[in-house]
Amino acid sequence: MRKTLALFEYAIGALARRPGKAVALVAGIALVTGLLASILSLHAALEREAGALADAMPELTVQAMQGGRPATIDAETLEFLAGHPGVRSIRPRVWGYLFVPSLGANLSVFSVAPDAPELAEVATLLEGRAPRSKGEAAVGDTFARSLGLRPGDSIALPTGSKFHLLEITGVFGAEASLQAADVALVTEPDARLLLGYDDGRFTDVAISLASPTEADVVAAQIAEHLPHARVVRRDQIARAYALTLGARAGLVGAMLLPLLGCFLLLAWDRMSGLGEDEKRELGVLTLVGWDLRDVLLAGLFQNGLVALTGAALGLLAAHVYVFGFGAPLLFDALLGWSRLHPTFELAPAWDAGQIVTVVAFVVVPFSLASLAPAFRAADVDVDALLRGGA
Amino acid sequence: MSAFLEAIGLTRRHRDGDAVQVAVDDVSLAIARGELVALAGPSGSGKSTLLGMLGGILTPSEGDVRIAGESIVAMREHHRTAHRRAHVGIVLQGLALVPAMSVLENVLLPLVPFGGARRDDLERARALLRRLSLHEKERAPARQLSGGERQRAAIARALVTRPSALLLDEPTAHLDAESASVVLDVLAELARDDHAVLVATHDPRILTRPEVSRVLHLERGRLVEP
Ligand SMILES: Nc1ncnc2c1ncn2[C@@H]1O[C@H](COP(=O)(O)OP(=O)(O)OP(=O)(O)O)[C@@H](O)[C@H]1O
Ligand SMILES: [Mg+2]
Repeated sequence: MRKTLALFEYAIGALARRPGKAVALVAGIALVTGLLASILSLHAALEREAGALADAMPELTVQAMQGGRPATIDAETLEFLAGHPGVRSIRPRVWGYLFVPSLGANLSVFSVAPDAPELAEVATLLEGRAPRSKGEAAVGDTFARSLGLRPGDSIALPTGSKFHLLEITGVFGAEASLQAADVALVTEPDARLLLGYDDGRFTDVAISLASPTEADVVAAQIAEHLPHARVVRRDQIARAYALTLGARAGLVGAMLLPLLGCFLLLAWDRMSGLGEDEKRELGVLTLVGWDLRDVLLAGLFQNGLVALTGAALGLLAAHVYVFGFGAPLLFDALLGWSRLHPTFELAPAWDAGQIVTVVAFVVVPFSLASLAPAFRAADVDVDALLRGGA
Repeated sequence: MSAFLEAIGLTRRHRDGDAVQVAVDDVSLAIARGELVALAGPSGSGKSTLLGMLGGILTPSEGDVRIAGESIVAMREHHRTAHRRAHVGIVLQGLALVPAMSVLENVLLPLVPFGGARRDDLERARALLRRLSLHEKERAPARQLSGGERQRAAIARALVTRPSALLLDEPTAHLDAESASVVLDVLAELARDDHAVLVATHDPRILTRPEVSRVLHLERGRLVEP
């Protein structure tokens, strides 16, 4: 124990005698770790958001298809769905995307029934109230903020060649802010006008089931009766979100990979390679009676200290970057589909799995990198010292 | 008096391409505690090589080395290191200090495998430095020392673990008359104090000292009569 402490003390001294190298290595490892941890924790946070989003989805969603493309749903279909056994209630919906040239972005327009569960479950009105009659709209907070809209203001949205004037009655935020970001809620007549839907036609149907465990069965039965319809289960939506996020995180990871690789190689080289003075020092240690084990342990301590300090700094920096600043740049890369970014209240969280990953991929290999060269050098250089000059 | 350091048929060859060069050739010797033995011989005669093998830092091609009655050649590496650091202090021709470390840190370095410097170790290190007139340089980095100062720092380092045997390679090479005499006094004192001391040198100041018990002559790797 005393010996381990003495070796540890030596390791600290050795690092202090080469501060430039130590600082450079710590910085390099902090950068690598920080990037890795940022991607991991942003991805995890987005996945949590997507999970919350999926939770608010209807158990089944039915879309009509025509020629392989989504088509509108007619009254006949509604009747069939409403009468199907296992279906508790149906909610036909009108929604769609509206390109707003002045924003250069798509706005998602949803018709909202006063009792719409989506609104109750995921959205919270921050200001004002939900739209009640034609000509009123509630908008997502990100959208409202980007245009400086408050309740009482009006916006003109394009419908074909004309503009349709809506009064803002409310601004809402959402648990799953992914969803609420670029959304406008309007009454059904306005939605039909903005999106060009005829009366009696709907975008899709949200179905709530008598028993959630029957989702598979009911979905299959519906698909059988309506061969041209697409029936989507909630878990499929959740998976789709997760896949999209996963793919994007993977893409960003892949883009950063060569960079990370370079850093790793460079740092590995600096860490495992020994300068002349370091080789000489190892020879001296052997000469004065240090065992190979002592030499290796001292090297392990040195690199371990560097790697741990670097990794801790990197994790901390990633935490601040992601949860403190909302991960600028990286966020865009992961959420490229949505130009109007959600107000992102990423819940700060330390992820044990993430720390294990970082330790496994950064700290352990770097600590071990000291062993090979120390092993080689410890023996060889005594011979040179024997006759070498002072 | 039984031998503390023993060489039996010690040989070390170096392969130089196809040619084989014999640096030390079938050397047998024994040094008892209380003896101050000088190892003389021209440059290239194998003094350093012999010293390295006796100190357990060079592996012999043939023959055996015994330290404190135990053969170190047969020992496993880990054992040999522990055995030699317990019994032998070595001062090499190259001196081998860590340049960026202070004199005191250099001197304390052999204590790390023993668990680091205790208070009495520290006192001993300082006393040694004082004895060798280096105490004022205790905090100076080794790279700032003169050749003679390095020599004395290396001697202090070899003695800090209280070894029973001391092997020195040209310990007076960089020293003026006064410092050389201090070093020789220390070596003589050690021998009187029941240490086994072997000094490789061609310095007449050593070879002519009355305290030197014996002078061994090495020529082309072999011990010869003068
Ligand atoms: N590693 C080696 N490889 C090849 N030859 C070596 C090696 N080590 C020593 N020699 C040779 O062995 C011989 C003895 O060398 P050694 O250093 O022991 O001589 P020395 O008596 O200490 O000389 P000096 O008085 O100059 O220090 C020399 O000819 C040297 O060139
Ligand atoms: Mg020599």
